[in-house]
Order: sequence, then structure tokens, then C-alpha cells
Amino acid sequence: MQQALSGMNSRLSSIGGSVVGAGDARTRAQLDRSITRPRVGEVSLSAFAFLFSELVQYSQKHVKGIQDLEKRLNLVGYRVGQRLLELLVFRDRGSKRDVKLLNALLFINTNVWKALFGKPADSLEKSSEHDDEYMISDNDLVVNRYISIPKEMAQLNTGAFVAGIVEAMLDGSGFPARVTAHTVPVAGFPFRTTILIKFDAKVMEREKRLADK
Amino acid sequence: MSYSRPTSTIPVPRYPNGIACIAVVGKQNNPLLIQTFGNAADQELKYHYLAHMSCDYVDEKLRSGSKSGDLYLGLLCTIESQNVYGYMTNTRVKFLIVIPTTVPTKDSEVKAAFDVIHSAYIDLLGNPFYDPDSTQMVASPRFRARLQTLAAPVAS
Repeated sequence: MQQALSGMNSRLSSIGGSVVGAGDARTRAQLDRSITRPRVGEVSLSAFAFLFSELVQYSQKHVKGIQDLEKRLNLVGYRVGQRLLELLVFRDRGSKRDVKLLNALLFINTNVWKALFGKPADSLEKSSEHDDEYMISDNDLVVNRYISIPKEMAQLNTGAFVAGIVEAMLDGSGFPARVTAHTVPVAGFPFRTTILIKFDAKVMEREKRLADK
Repeated sequence: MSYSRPTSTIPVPRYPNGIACIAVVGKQNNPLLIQTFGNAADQELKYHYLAHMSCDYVDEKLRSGSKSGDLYLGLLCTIESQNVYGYMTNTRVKFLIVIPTTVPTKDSEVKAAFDVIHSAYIDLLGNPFYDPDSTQMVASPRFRARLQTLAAPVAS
């Protein structure tokens, strides 16, 4: 809790709480903020965590299994992604459409992650076994930070929400794909989430055609 | 707006009696909004046809391969002394501006007009009750009002 409060450059505001003296530390952090750097587009982390947990609970009431739950979160993320795509392309990309697959993925990797979570994704990899699979990894996905999965649902990864966002962005840009989220623990980062992107065959054909031209 | 959007250095153009029609066409080439202004207000059907025809020109422009993937498509065609300019967003939603050939226009002004339309469309998307995949015409009065101010005759 104290670490969260002392971060001066943390993009997400500190968690309000029942800790005594939290108020003082918070106002001190507020006064130390730089005036020149615009702090627009920031949302309180605690507000988001509550909202997301409620979203997961609500979805759980209406589904009968893990796959269904992931699909539902994916759908919610899809709606967000559709709108986010238009906005981010207009705001950050000037007037350019991504025609190449790699450019679209890089756009997601940096711009989208930065707009959503304040930092670019940790890695973007191409799978060596399958030509049409790519993976975006994040060591500490913000949406998953305050979620702990019970043992019966070990396969669930609520990062399906983010997977939905990515799927909508790729779908909208003309690269239809199936996107899923998986937990891939790695030394030092037990909660590392990998977003697996599997492109449709049509997309790969088109890429090959464009590459040959 | 609470966040900054790119604003063109050219001031928002006003086309008193200039723009005849603004059309928004969805990704399946379904009309989302066809709005006529000024003298042309009673010829909506004609502009429906015009928008429909222009979709073919948009497809042609895309196929002839703009490798740069620019959103602004430029002057698409001239039909019956009306110039049709096109613009396509990332999600294949197209905006068309129809201006009679008698009105002198600069490319940069048209681009600025498209930016305003794009901005209004993004705000429309922000509405959680608007389904971007729907094939219905856009019913949002605020969106229409924004387009109206773009093409409204300048108060003297």
C-alpha cells in the first residue's frame, strides 16, 4: 500500500483506503505533480478494479462454464476495442491506415497499450511453429492485478477482456483473427499474461501477396 | 474535449451554400446517414443514388492500391456537375462530401472538413447505445447537428 502511495510518477492514482494517514500522503503526491505535463486520460485504479470485478461477477451469473465466461469478457472487450480503434487511429496515427500485418501489431503493442495502461506491452513475439500465430505478453496486466483465480478455475484468465479489445482492433483494421489470453508464468513473473493471436488464413495469403509484390 | 485531437491548422471551413450533401456509408456499403443542405434539401433521393455510385469509385481507389494507406481518398468522381470527395476510416466507414463544381474548393479545406466529420463520428461511437455494426441509419440528433454546423450558411 505504501509503495503505491509513494510513486510520484505513477500514472494511476493511489488507492484510497482505510489506512490512517493515507489522506496526507495522497495530498502530498497531488502537490508534487508537475503542472506542465498534462495528466488527462487518467482513471483511478481502484475505481477501475471495482468496476472490473463487478463486470466479472455479473458475467459469472449468466454463464455456465469457464469458456463461456471468457467468451463473455471477450465480447465486452470487443465493444470497447471497436470504439478505441477509431479514436486511437485518429488521435495517434494521423491519417494512416495499417495495410501490413506487422505494422498493425506494432501499433497495438505500443500505442494501444500506452493509451490503456500507460506503458507499451512487454513483448511481441512470433510463434516459431505456426506461421499465423503471434503473442503479445504483459508481465503484470492491470486488469488482472486485483483478481485471484480460484483453483477450480485455473484455466480462466480474465485478460480475456483485453483479448477482446485486441480482437476488435485487428478485426476492424481488416485482419480478422482469433485472440485468447493465457497465463504463462515465467521466472520472476508468476502472473504473466500472454495474448495469443491467431490470424485467419485469408490474412496470411494477403500478406504473402503484398510481400511478393 | 478532455483530450487533444489533431486539429488542422486550417480553420474549420464553412461552405455557405457550398456543401450539397454529406453521406456516411458503413462498412457493408450500407447508408448510415445522408444529409443534404441548402438548396438541395429536397433532392434526397438523388443523393442516395450518388452515394451509392460513389461506393464503386471508393472500391476502385482502394484496389488501385494506395500503399500508404492514407485515409483521405481525394476527388472520387464528378457526376452531373457535382464533385464527390471521399474519405475512409480504419474500420471501412466512408464519408462522402458532395460539392457542386461551381463552388471553388481547395483540397486542404475538404480534408479539414473530413477531419471534423471523423471527429463527430468518433464521438458518436463513444455512445454506448450506438452499435457500430448495425445497418440502421444513424438516429443521433447530436451527430446530425454537428454536420449541420459544418455546412450551415455563415450568419452575416
